[in-house]
Amino acid sequence: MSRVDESNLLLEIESINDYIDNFELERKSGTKALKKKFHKEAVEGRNGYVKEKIDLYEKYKRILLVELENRSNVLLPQNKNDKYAERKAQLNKLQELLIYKNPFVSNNFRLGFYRLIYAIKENTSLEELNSIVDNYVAIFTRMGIKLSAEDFDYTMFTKDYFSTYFGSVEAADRKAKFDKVYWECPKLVLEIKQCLLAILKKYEKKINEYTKVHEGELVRENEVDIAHIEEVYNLTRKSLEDDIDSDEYTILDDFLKGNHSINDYLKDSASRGKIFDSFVASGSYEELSVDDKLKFKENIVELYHTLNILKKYYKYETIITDLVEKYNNRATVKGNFANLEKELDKDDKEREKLNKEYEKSCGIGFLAKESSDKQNLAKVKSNEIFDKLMTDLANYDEAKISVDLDKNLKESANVHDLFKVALSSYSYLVRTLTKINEEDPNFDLEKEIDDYIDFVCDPNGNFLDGIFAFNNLDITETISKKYRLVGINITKEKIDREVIDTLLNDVSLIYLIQNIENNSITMENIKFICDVNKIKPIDLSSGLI
Amino acid sequence: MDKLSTFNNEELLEVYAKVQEEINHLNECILEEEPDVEAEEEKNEEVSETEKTEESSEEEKTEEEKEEKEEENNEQS
Repeated sequence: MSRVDESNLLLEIESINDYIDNFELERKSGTKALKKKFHKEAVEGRNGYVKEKIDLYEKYKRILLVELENRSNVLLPQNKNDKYAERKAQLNKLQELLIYKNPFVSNNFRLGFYRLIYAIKENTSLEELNSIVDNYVAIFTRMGIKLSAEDFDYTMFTKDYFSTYFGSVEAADRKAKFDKVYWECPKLVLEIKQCLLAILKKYEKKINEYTKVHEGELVRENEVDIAHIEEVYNLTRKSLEDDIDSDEYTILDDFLKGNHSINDYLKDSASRGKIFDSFVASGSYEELSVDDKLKFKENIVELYHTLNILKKYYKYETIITDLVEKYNNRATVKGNFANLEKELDKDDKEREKLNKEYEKSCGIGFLAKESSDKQNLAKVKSNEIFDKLMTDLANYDEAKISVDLDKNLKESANVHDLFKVALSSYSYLVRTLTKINEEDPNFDLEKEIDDYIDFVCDPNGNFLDGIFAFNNLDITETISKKYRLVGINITKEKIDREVIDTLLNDVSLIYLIQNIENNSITMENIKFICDVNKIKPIDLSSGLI
Repeated sequence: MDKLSTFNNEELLEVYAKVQEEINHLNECILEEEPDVEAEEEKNEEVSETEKTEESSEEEKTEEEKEEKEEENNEQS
């Protein structure tokens, strides 16, 4: 019998209910009128008593609620999200340095130029386009280079638009000019994109010099030895992720938001026991020795991280299969690459020639004569050559990745190497990530690029270093065998692409239980706070601490 | 009621549930009270008398208005 069953409250409730149940409502003798009168007064009397008790119990309820809230508030953990955000910002700076150290990454990528340029699509709005160009110009300004309209002479159309862009900051002026040029050059946005890429070529030497300077600045800012950047980054990231995963506030917040149901996590939960047992090779978690339980815990933490990496690996697997295919076909592609380069060079020369012809037809230069017919002809030809240039560029880009693979990879390369090499061609990365996410209506290229970089830099993915990319790859077999060797019961079928989420949910449950057990907040306290939350919702963000 | 400090968190929730359960039970115990027939009748009578007085005063008003109009007409002619 619990203390509640023996409490004065239950005695009081019993006595109240007895009194109500035995309240005489009918008179046995007397006239009909008398009986009726008696009943009416008895009902009024009983109702009066009941209402008085309702008031009393409502008062009890209020007192109890205050006590419950006070007790739950005492248990609420501190919100450390601001501190985590600061640490994440610091980690991002270290990641920037790590990217600097990746030999496959170009300086244009490192300095942020490609991120801006490749965000430009055919349907990019003028407002977005101008904002991208503003940021692009700002990077050059930081480098000590002041760009002007003269730098944007990729075609007569880009030159025309940028003469207004640099001449006026008024959005209306820029729009009027854009609209005017657009009718003569419907691919103006793409021409501007190519123009921005061409400027990078023009200033290549200065960009390379500045990258070195900037790298030095980053090293000083982060107070880190660049030779050990990878170790520093891995340690910092692991420590931050572990702290966030085991953070009491975050854990509690997830329960309060209903992301987990506390009943599945309690010791007496039938599903919890089954899930634990399902990972133990001998079949019963409880029968494991204390030492084996400790080893089990460590292996589950590792498995949790491995499965999360595997899930991302599945997402990016096409990059591996594609790059392997490209590497195997490199000899054929390499033979044709010189022709593609020549063709592209020819297109570029033609473009430059047309620009000069256009200037001449505007009356600029020695013996030049103004002719609107010749101006229009140059414009028409310029549009034609741009279309050809775009086709040739697409072929060149596609072939270049094979040539880069030939230059940067060996037959002994591992899976991680391939993922890193993909960073060597930003245009390839953009094309591939766009294709991978083609069914996602909320696709955000910038976020996808960040996620991919995060994946490539993830220290939990270091096991990919040990898997040869050019062997016949069966990553699920490799992982499941590795864990079976340490007594964790998983099969390759259970971690297959289609079903990995089910297994990951089970591993996540054990991982979370372990994190709670390592904390000062107990499962019982989480349950208590969740129960109080059901009575009166707790607003964790309001800082009830 | 008992001293709340004697209960642990789990028990306190149980107490809260019992109190809520008793409130629900008490609410169900409220019986429908029969209307007071005599008082109702008296009330009804009062209402009908007031209505009558209002009606007669309105009738008086319209008669007065009629007379006033007739007087006005006579004066004009």
